[in-house]
Amino acid sequence: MSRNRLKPEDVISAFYEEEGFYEVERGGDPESLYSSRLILSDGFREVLVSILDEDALMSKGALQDALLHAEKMKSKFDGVCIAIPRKYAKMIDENVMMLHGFGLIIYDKMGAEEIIPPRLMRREGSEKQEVREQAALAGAQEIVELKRQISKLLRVIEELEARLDRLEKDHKEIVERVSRIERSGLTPPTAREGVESAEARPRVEVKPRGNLPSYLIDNPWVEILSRRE
Amino acid sequence: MSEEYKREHVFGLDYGTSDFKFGPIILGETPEVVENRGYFIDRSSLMSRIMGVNREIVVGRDIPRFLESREDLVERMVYPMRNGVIAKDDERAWKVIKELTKYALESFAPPDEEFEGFYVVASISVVSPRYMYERLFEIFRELNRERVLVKAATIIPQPLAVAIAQKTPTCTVVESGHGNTQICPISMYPVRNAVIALNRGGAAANALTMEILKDAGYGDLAKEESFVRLVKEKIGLIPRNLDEAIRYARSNPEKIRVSLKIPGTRIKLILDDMAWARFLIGEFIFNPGHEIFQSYFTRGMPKPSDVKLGDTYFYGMMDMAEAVIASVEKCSIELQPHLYSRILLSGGNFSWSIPEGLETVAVRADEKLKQLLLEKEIEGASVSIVEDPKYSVWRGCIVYGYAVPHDYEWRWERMEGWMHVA
Repeated sequence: MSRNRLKPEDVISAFYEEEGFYEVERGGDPESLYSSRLILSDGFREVLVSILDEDALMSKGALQDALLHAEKMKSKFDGVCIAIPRKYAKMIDENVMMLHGFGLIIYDKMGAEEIIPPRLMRREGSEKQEVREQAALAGAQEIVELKRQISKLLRVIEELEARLDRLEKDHKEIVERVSRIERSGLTPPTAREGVESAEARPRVEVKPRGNLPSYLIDNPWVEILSRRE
Repeated sequence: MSEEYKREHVFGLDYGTSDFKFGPIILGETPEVVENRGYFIDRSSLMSRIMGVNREIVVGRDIPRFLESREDLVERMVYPMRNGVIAKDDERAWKVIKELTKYALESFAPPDEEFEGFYVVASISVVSPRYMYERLFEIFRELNRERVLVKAATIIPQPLAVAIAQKTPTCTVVESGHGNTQICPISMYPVRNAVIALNRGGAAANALTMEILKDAGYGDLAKEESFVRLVKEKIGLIPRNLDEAIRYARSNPEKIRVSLKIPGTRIKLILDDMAWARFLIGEFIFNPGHEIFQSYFTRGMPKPSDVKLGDTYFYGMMDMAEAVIASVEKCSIELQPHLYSRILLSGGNFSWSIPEGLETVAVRADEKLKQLLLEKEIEGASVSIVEDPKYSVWRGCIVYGYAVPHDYEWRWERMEGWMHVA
C-alpha cells in the first residue's frame, strides 16, 4: 500500500511557516554533493537550510561536506542551518555549531525541531540599532508630549479652582437669600412653575454625528481595530 | 495630522468573484460596481486600427463598446477571480487585476497637489495564498510609478470584512460566491487555521440547472451560461426537507409548476412534469451528497471534487452544515458556542426567495442551514443572511481603513497592518 509521505523539506518548511517565514526555493543543492537545500524568507532575512537525509548520511563524507558548504554559504545568506534526521542528532556537537553560528534542526516524519537557532548576521545588528534609535526617538517624543499634557492639566486645575471659588461664593449668597425669605414668610416658587419655565426654553437639537456612514456608527470594530499596535 | 489624512482618504477595493466594488470613504453607503473582468483587444484587427485603440485591455463600463464576436468573447474575456484564487503564473488575470485597480483609483484620485495617495484596503478570498498578497502589493507599487495613487495599502480576507460591516466581532462567516464557499470563524481576528473551503458555489448549482433544463427538453438553451443562471435564480427553491418537498410537488403539481419568459426574447420556459426538480437546485448548494444526485453524476454531470489550490483543500461533497461544524470545531471549546450563536451568510449564492404559497416546503438559506445544524445536534445556532450582501465587504474595508492606526505597519506573520508603498 503506498501513501504520500512527507518529505524532509515539507516538515522543515511547515516549521518555518509557523515562525512567519515563507518558502523561496527548494531542491537539490548544486554546490553540495549530498545535501538538498531550502531557502526561506520572512521578507527581511533569508535563511538557507541545508538538508541531509538518511540516505546521504550513509556516506562518510556527507556531514563534512554539509558543514564546509554551510561555512561557504554564511556570506550569502543571513542565516545558515543544517537539518539532519532525529536519530543522527547525537552525531553533532551543539557547542561547536553554536560557536560557528550555524543553526541545527532535527526532523522526523512527525515534524521538525530547532535545536539551535542560526546566528543572523547581516541584518540583525542594524535592526537592533534601528529599534534602539526608534525607541529613543519615541521616548523623547513621549516626554515632550507628557510635558505638554502636564502644563495643560495645570491650566485646567487653575481654572477649576477659580470656578470653585465663584461657586462657593454664589452658594453662600443663595443660602443667605433663602434664610431671608424664610424669615419674611414668603414662599419660594413651586415646582410646577419651575417645570413650565423649563418647557418654555427652546429645545436643544441633537446633531447627527458628523457625516459618517451608518456602518461606521456604533461599530465595535472601530474600537477593536484602533487598538492594533 | 496623518491620522486625519488617512481617515479622509480610505479607499476600499473588493475583488469579488463576479463584481469588483470600489471607492473612497466619501461615497458613504454604496461603492461603485463594475464586473470583475477584462477584455483583451485584438490590436491587429481593422476596427481597433480605425478607432486608434492602443491599449491591450479594457475594463469597467467601456467593455461593451469593444466587444467583438461571441467566439472572440470566450477567448478574450478574462474573469480573473472566478474561482477566488489567481494562479501565480496567470499573467492575463494579473493584468486585468492591475488594470481594474488602476481604473478604480484613477476614477477618484483628486487632481490637487495636497493629495499624497489613498490608504487602500483591498479584500480577497480568505483562502488566497501568500503570493496573491505579494502580487497585489507589487501592483500598488507599480501604479505609483506613473502617479502616486496609493500611500499605504493593506489586504484583508473577505469574511473579516463581512464581520466588520455587520458590527460583529465574534461570529462565523460563510461566504459563498460563484466558484467556491469559504467558512471562516472570526474572533477579533480571522481564525485562519479553522478556515474550511468548499469547491462549489453558484457555478455548481448552474451545472445542475443545466441538466434539469436538458431533461425538460431545453437542451439547446442550456448551453448559454447567462440563460442557465437566470433560470436558476428565478425558479430554484431550497427545500425544507427534500424528500417531503418532492412528495408535496408530486401531489400538488399545480402549485409547483412554473413558466418563465426571458425578457426581450421570444423564449418561454415551462416546467410542468419536471417542476419538482426546482427543489434539487437549492438542495445541491447545501447537500450534494443526497442520493438523488447520483443519477445526475452517472449521466455525466461533473461531481464537485476535492482539489488543492495553493495550500488550501477545497472539499467538493462535504455538506454545508458539516463544513460549518468542522470549521467551528477547530476553534477552542470555549469559543465554539459563540461562533454558533452568530453565523453570517454572505454572497450571492445565498439569495433565494420563497414564492407565495410554498412557505411550508421551501425555506430561505438561513433557515436551511439552521435546520441542517439541528439535525447534527447543534442546538441554538443563530443563522442570518447579511444585509446588503453585495456591499458588505467594501463597507468592512472602509471601517478597517478608518480604524486601524496609520502607523501600524504591515506584518507578514499576522497578515495585517499598513504596507507603505508610496
